[in-house]
Amino acid sequence: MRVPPGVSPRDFSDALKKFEETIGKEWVFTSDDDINTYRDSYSPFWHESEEPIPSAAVAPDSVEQVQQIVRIAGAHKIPLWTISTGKNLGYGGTAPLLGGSVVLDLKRMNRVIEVNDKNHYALVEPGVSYFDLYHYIHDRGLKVWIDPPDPGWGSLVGNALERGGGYTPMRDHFDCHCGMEVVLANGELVRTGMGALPNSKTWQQYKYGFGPYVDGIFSQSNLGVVTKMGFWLLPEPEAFLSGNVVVGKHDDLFALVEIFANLMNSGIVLATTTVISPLAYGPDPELAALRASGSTKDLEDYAARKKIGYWSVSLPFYGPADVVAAQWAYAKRKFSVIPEVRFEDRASYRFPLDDEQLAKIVNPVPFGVPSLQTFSIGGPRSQGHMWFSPIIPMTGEAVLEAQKVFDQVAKDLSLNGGSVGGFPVWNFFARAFVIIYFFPIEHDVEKNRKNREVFRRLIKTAAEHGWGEYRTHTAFMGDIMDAYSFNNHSLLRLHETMKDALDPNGILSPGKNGIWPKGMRKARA
Amino acid sequence: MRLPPGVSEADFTAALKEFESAVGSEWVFTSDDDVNLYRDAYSPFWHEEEDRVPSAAVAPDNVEQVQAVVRVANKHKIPLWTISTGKNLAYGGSAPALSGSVVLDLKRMNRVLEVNDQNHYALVEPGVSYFDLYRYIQEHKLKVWIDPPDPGWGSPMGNSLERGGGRTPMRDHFAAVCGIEVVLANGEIMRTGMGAMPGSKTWQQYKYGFGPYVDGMFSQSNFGVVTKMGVWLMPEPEAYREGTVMVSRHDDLIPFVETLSYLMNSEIVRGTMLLESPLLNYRVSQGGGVLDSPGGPSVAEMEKIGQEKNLPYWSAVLHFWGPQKVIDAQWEYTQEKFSEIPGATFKDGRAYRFPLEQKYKDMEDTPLVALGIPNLAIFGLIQGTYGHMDFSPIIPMTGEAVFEVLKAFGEAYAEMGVAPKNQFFALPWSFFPHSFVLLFGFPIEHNVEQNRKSREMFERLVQVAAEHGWGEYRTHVAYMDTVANVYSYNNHALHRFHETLKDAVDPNGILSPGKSGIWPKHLRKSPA
Repeated sequence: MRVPPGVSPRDFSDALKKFEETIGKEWVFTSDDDINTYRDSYSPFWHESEEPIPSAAVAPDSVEQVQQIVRIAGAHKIPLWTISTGKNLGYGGTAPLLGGSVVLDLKRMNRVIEVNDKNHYALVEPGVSYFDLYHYIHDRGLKVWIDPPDPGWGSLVGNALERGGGYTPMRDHFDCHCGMEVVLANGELVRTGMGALPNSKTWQQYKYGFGPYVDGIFSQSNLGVVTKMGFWLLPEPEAFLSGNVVVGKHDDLFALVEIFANLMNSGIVLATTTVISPLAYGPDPELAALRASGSTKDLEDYAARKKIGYWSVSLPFYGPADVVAAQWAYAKRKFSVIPEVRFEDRASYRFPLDDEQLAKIVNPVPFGVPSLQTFSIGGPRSQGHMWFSPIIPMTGEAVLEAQKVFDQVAKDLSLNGGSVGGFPVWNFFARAFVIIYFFPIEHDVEKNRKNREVFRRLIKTAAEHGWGEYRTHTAFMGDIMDAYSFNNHSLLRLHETMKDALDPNGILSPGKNGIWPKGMRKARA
Repeated sequence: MRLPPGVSEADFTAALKEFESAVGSEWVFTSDDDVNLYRDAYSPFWHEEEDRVPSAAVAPDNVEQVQAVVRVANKHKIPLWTISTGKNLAYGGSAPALSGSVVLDLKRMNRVLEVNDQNHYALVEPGVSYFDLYRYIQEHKLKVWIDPPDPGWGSPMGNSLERGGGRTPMRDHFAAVCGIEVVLANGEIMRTGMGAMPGSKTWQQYKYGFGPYVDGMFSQSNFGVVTKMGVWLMPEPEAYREGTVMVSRHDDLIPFVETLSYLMNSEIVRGTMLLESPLLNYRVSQGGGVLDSPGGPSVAEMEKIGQEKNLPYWSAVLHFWGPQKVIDAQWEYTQEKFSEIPGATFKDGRAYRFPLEQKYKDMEDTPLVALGIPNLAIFGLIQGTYGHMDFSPIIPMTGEAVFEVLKAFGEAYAEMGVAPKNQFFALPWSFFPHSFVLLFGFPIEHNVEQNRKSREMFERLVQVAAEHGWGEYRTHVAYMDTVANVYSYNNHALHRFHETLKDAVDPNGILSPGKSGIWPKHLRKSPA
């Protein structure tokens, strides 16, 4: 039997017995076969002793059961690692950060409690997946959209608490939540926002409630177990339109991003897109050679010759057909200050789409339809992946600097990175870009060791430039929190003060985002 | 000398001396004349013993001085009541919740540290007013708008931390906050979001940073003293236009609000709108009230009057900001959607292009606040009373909820024996997405009896609202306990959670005791 660190086998057996009495024997998992399903299938420690493996898993069915489990864990000082569906592959999956933790798996709590298509919100439990909610809405013919990330098998609660992003105007998932129910480490049940008012009529309609607005401290954290969450949904729009903006010169990026930022911050473009360089990819050996050693001028000539552009951005518009047409026309007018800019009309849809139309769309995620299509991207190249995802300013200067800096790291460490826009920038969040860089994970100890080294080097290099990650794999949470060190780690020390006050036994997700219980804290450099 | 409760004269004198050495003796105020300036000019306890009066005030000039003041207070256990400019008059102004507190007045920290008109944000200190920020932007010819509340003399930081609202698409002021700097009760300085990374390039561009997102904890709270705040601004739009939608029957309100909710949640109609009723206004002009007083005219009778006088039952002015052709298309689509309500009528309203010509700024009927221009015109509108405080519950954005409100509060007033013409009721606003908020101005007089009556009415309305599942988004310091007390789910679990945090981050309880009903351990009453 694997045992949580610092817990005697006897205490652990007692705790497991009590877990079984609470939720039923069939929902407490201790066999190796069962536990193995909770390992991170993309672990950067595959075949190494550092891989954190849980000691057991428990899967309650209700809030009351969660409260009881937390109380038992508190009494026996058992570390719990909470997951909703545990599908954030690339950031750690279902595996705990601390080996020997008991996974608190909330997948059975998968009730869609309410969907309202007049005020456009949903109230869901942690185990509800994007697919579940989509089917619920679809089956009832409700006129609201969800905003799935790719892939769509994860949980709304999990993704929002990890502050993930999607593609529609509701892309900032944490921002679109409204109201929470949380089980604290002492087993107490708290409702936030208007939910603190008994029989509240606006729990999912007004976020803040009265007094301190605490929801944020339960995101990317280990201060409580969220058991219900409200989400704002997008009313089904009338139409969608996208248009591509293509510019030919390296330095056109400055104007391109500045105009883009203006359109975003004005609410004219409301959804997720990416600024790319068509020169970053492609099998053409000439292009590959230019990427490796060519000058900017050479690349500009190549782009002109092939009519592919040096940079491009595809703009998505959602809304009434006449409004999105006017928005695209306005965007073209603004971008026209860039000499020789080209515009391409792309997709155009009216909603609702029928099944036949939907079947023709390769990636339906931007239309609120969850999908697993994204897995076709990474499959053959590696066994798995993790993401390096720093936030950088939404300026052309920052994009170029980040490309240059990260490219150098990639070259130094002979990583398979690209040059010229090989680190794609996305606007999953308002007012900043996030780079989403794919890191391969292999079932190869040496390669993984090397990759971890590169990853840590990228974190440090990013921090030296004032760029921090928005989220990370459990293996690097400590490294990243370390980089957020203003005034001798004063923010982390506030987190620790809160952790000690709210979870004195340190039972909830030890190590999550670099926050450890008192007894496990390492001395800071 | 007035003393903070539980502090000896010797300790207080010592603390004042240390404050003086931290900020200079001219910035520590102890004379009655000076301290009186910090009283609440609209206090509902005017001329009464319960009126909150500070013992002193201290006005630091920079973050280091704030740290020093907080450390002195911590050492001597002196309660500090933090204000930025203290202009939220209807919610308590600059006066503390606990009499005898020392006001920590941050008005001198009024530096605009940065305004960026490419990524559209500002970084400001607490004492910067909307006027200050507006003037800074004008002088530097930057292409960004601020979102002032009415009136505009308050501080973006104070207003945002109190979670106030404005009129433009950036109306939810706390939602526009990006990154804060906080002095904690132990005098430590902390930066949130990306600001926790030394040399960060995106402190004002990405809110959450890494790990728990703590900014919300410092709103409507007493967990820290916020000394810098990033705020997102709106790029100057090309144009603005208004359009009025009117419907004639009582029950039209249900599809009316449903359509409105669809348009707002789709970002087609943005900014703050006010639901209006020309017909109910007529009733008010005839000595009636907006609320449904028991025994008042029936719906059928009202609709008949509406027909005769050609007065819509419900109407709203909707606002559009953006490229001219986009807002034209949005207004067009809006009319198309509302046309599904039989008999709906429409009227084009004011329209402007930007930058705004000076002549429009000088015209009386220009909606300055909606155009991002701070002003004090609101004070001309509130007449007939000495002051006011606001009762402001959040209700669902549905017609049904509005009907329920009119009935429930109408009955409450009747029970309290208040005549319809003495109700101070307005229909809901959309200061925040997805819900309505009522702003219900309560008169404050320099008359003890009348104020007592108003307070009784206020307390009653909080209870009536809570019984219906409606809670206040903000309140006057005099009612913070009352309002916090109705947020009582699971034996006040959220409130107890706040207290746990309070004890952890401010063990001596020196920061704004009583703010939002959160008291330090030694001042906590046993719960009812």
